[in-house]
Parts: sequence; C-alpha cells; structure tokens
Amino acid sequence: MDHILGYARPMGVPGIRNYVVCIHTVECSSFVSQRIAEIDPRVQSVGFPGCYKNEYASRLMVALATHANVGAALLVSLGCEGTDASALAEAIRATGRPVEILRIQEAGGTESSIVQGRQIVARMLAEIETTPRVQLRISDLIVGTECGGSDGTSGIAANPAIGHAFDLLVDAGATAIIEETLEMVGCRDIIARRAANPDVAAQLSRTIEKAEQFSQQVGQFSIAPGNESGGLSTIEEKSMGAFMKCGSRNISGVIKVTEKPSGKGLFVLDSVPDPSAFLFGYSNPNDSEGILDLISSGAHLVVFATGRGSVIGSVIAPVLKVCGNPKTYARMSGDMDVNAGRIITGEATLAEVGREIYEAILAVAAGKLTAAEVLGHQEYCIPYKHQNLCANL
Amino acid sequence: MAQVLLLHPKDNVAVALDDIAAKSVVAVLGAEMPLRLTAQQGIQFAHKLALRPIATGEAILKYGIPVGFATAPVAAGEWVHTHNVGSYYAEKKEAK
Repeated sequence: MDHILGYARPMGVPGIRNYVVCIHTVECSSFVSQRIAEIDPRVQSVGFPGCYKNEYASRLMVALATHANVGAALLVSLGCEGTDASALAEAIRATGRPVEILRIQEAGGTESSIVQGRQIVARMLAEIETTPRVQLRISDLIVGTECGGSDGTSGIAANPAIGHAFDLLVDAGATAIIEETLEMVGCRDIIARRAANPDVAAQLSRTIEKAEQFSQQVGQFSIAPGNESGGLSTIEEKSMGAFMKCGSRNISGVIKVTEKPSGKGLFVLDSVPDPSAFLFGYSNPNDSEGILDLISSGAHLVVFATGRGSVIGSVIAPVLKVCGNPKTYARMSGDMDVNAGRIITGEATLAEVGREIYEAILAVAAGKLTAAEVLGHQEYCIPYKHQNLCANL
Repeated sequence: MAQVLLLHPKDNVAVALDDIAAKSVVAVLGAEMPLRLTAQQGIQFAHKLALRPIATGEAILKYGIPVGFATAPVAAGEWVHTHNVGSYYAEKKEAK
C-alpha cells in the first residue's frame, strides 16, 4: 500500500476517519448527547460522567475532540456541572475545528435539545464532508497497542506477532505507542536498557517504579492465579509476554495520557495516576480505558491482542483485533481481524503473521473497516484520575 | 507429532503448542535446523520445555531474554516451571 488518503486537519497529522463527536460534559447530558449522535453513523458519542471538575478528564475530552480522526465537535452540557464546557470549546476551537456548545437547561429540555443538537450536527457533517483528502505517509501514522482477555497464547502468538508489526512500523518511520506499564513491573531493567538514551532510561525506570508503588497502594496486581497454571513461571516471563507487543526497537520516550509523542519511533504511555490528594482507585479499570488513553495521545488506530476473546472496539479510532488462540478464533472469528492462532497450529510463522498485521494496519489506515467497526462497537471509559503532564515536571 | 515453539534463536526453552505426553518426541518449530527431542514429563499447553541441559543458576532464556534462573539442574526435554525456576525480580524484592 503506497498511497493512503487521509483527512487534512488544520493542525497536526491527517486523520484516517472523519467523525463529528458529541461530548457530554456530565452524565446528566449523556442521554441527550447519545440521541443527537444517532442521527448519522459518522457522529460518535463520548463523554465524562463526573460533575466535579477533573483536569485529567477535561484534558482527555479536548484531546478526543481534537483527534486527527475528528473534524468537528458538539459539547452537550446540562448547564450547571463543574466541568467548564466553555473552556473545553475554546481549547478545541484553537485547533481550527468547528465546535459548539448546547446547554440543555437553556435549550429547553430533552426534546428541544435533541432537535437543536441534530441541526448543529447536520451542519457540521455538511462542513466536514468537504474536508480535503491528502496523502497520509506511513511516517504520519501513530499506532497504539493494548491487550485484553489474555491466555497462554498471548505471549507466544498475538503479542510477539504485533511486536514484529511494530518493528516494521518503526522502521518505516511511523510512531508506535505501548501502554500497560503496570504489566511491565517484572522487567524494568530490561525495558530501561531498550531506551534510546540515558534520560529515557531513567524516565522508564521511574515510570515502572511508580506503577509498582501504585499497584501496591491500591492492591492491584497484574499477576492473576491463572497465570501460573497457564505456564508462566515468573513475573519476568509474564511481563516480557506483554512487553513483546512493542517489538525490539529502541524506546524514544515516555508520555502521559493526552500527550503526543515528541517524535517518531516507539513510545511508552504512562497511564498510571500520579500521587495526589485524591486516590481514585484502580489505574486502568478496563481494556477500553487503556485503548482510549492511547487514542488521546494521538493513536490513529489501536492493535488489540486477545487470546480468550474480546469483542470491544472504540470511539474515535479503529481497533484491530489480533487473536492468538486458534480455538477462540474459530469460535469468535466475526469479531477478529487477524488470526495469529496460525502460529500455534504451525500454519504460519511469527514473521508472516507480523507482516499480515502490518499490512492490515495500512489497510485500516486507508479506510478498510475493522470487525469492531463493522459491528458498530464504540466502547470508551473516562474515569476520574490525577496525572501531571511530563512537560510540566 | 507434538510441537513446541522456539520464540528466539538464543532461547534454551520452547513453548508447548499442545498438551504433550511424557516420553513423546516433539518437533521444535522456529528452529533454524530441524530439531527433535523427547519430553521427559507430560507438559501442558503453553508450558515450557528445556531445549538443552541448563545448570543450576543459569538463566532461563525466553524471547531471547532471561525470565528467571534454574534452581536445580535441568535436562534437555524436561518441563521448566516454578519447581525448577526462580525469579530474579522476586529475589531482588526479598533482598530489599
């Protein structure tokens, strides 16, 4: 695939999808926002349920509204929540995107808000339809990876095959992001040695140490009882299995949620909360949260490894599912994009499946829908969290 | 024939791609040269089998990286798991 057409954006890299997002700024406006979004499949609904203002969540909503795959945004506010819809709109407008606020209390309640919201969204759809198509180079592409529903096959089939695809991406000049620092606690030194320079090595060590301290504080551990019976003898072995997803290239840097990678190459996304007065509980409550973190940092699409089987997709960006267990694939093939179980059955090598994943990434970037997109999956999760940005440290 | 998967050329263990019966001959997928050996015990799916003798204290290499060390001598074809593998990470933690 040498020619991928993306959607030109006023700032930043081109997108691979062209959506209008309806963002509810509190749970109270979520129903109205979802009803507005039903008008057209190119309109997606996302939002934050909390009423008390959370800087992290506000930053995340702005990052999603200004994502490369998004052309315009409608903020759906109740009118009295703590989150400041005007401030969000201002930040979104600064990127040159059309943005409007609909306040339900001013608009006259449910029915009239839905009518007005749909009118706004229809205007935005007409506007983004004229978005110029421009060439998207592989070096423009940002790809994230995550795993969920792991089993004994994850560390030997889907994850290393994705790692192979990530090596191909990095070598072609793309940007790749791996998340899940909580899973990496057993191989901190090995990961630090992959750093491009001593500063990044120190940052990686600190990040993984923080993940370890956090998991001890809240009692969240990445080792489950099933791991040992599944053949994993040590935490190093489990950590390496998860870490295999990012391949073998040097790590260029560490970023926090909503921060964009500062260059090309491989980046580690730290999504673990930083110490603060509030402890909001588990770091990554589910797979959708991790996927959205990657998207908020600019991932055009996310490659998701599973063994036991997962069906999720995401708002804003396509999720490409790679299944490493041939039995799961046979049972749930309608939800999967790549069958890495062929490594287990001896029908294909790691390198062959890795190449296939790489080609699939480019095809999705060129517009091919993933299984989750065809099925209409649009999961997301935005929890309360506290994080300082790396740039502010 | 039962198969095990070699994940990295440097590795001294390979991963069972199916449940393997004791004393059965297994083929190593991913090896540069055709390689077969006899499983010393029954080995469950996704568990590890030693490709060559491993001395006490020697690193267990999977993905080309030490994921632990042998706590007892391991013979080629033997099952490699918590009964004969220790964690560098857990050792370090205890030493703290």
